[in-house]
Amino acid sequence: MSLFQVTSLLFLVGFSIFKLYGLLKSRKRLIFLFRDLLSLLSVIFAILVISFPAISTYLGNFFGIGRGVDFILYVSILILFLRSESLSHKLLDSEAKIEALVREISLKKCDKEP
Amino acid sequence: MKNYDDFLVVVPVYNEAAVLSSVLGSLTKHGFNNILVVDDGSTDDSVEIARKECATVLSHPINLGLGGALKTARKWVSLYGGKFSFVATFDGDGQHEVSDLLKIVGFIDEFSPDILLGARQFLYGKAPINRILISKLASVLIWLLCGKWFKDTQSGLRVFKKEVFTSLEFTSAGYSVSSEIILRGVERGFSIIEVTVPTRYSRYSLNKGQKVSNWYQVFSDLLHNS
Repeated sequence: MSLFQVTSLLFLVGFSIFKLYGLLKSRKRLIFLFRDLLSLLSVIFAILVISFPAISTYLGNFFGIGRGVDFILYVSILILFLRSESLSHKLLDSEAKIEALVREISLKKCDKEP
Repeated sequence: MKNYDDFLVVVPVYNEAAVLSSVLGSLTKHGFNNILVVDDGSTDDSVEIARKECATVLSHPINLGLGGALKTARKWVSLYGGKFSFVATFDGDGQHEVSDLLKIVGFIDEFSPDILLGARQFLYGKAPINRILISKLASVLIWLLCGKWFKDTQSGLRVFKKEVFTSLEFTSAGYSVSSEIILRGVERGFSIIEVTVPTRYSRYSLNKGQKVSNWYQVFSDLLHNS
């Protein structure tokens, strides 16, 4: 196993332990379960691909892409795009809530008659 | 002097302490006594100046943008604006003269439109070239989105029938609200008339106005909200 593989695996295992600890400590763990499950699956997939690079070649061939590294690249782009959309949606949602709050505060303090 | 007691003039303000007193003073001098200043998180003395000029003041604790200010005004009008028949919007940076407002108000009796827009004239050689180009681009975009041509989609000088103002469902928080108001108006089938008004560029208004760098945001907001 190369140094890159060992470093990546150590990072991923550390990250997983950190996430798992947070998940178990959280009182809202049922709400976050689905998101965390996806995150956990991604980490397991990453660990498998780093440990056994042949898996990516097999998957690349299976999906008709050819090279394993291309398969990983396409999947990464897809995941990053979905993540960016989800974050953008959350940001807009937060902005709308802040705006409504600011409006309520200003209306509560204002005069009713010009 | 005529009294415009059935008019509410909404003045969105963001750090306009340098000119606000003269803007509000000239409005009251011409009979527009009902003024609603929506302070959008100013850090200067705009709020105190507006209060001194006897305007009703709504103050945002943080800056939301022009659209956010107009939405707050819309909410206030729907809650407390029962006695008004018309709502005018008038920029707080001194870009408009009250004579411009009087000019467009003069069209109400004759045409009774739902929305009147003060369309600024962008004269080549007098207006900055980037503003002319941007204004034309915005007009083209609005034309593509709603099929109608408007000379100036970004003007802050408007007069609405009150019910029209409170029922327009614009959602943009930033500068794109000006174009969105037109889009929503066309969608709802409101009659919209543009009245040409002179454009006045002072160093102050040029510094305060929309920056070219804002325009990507304006166009993308507009496409997002259309």
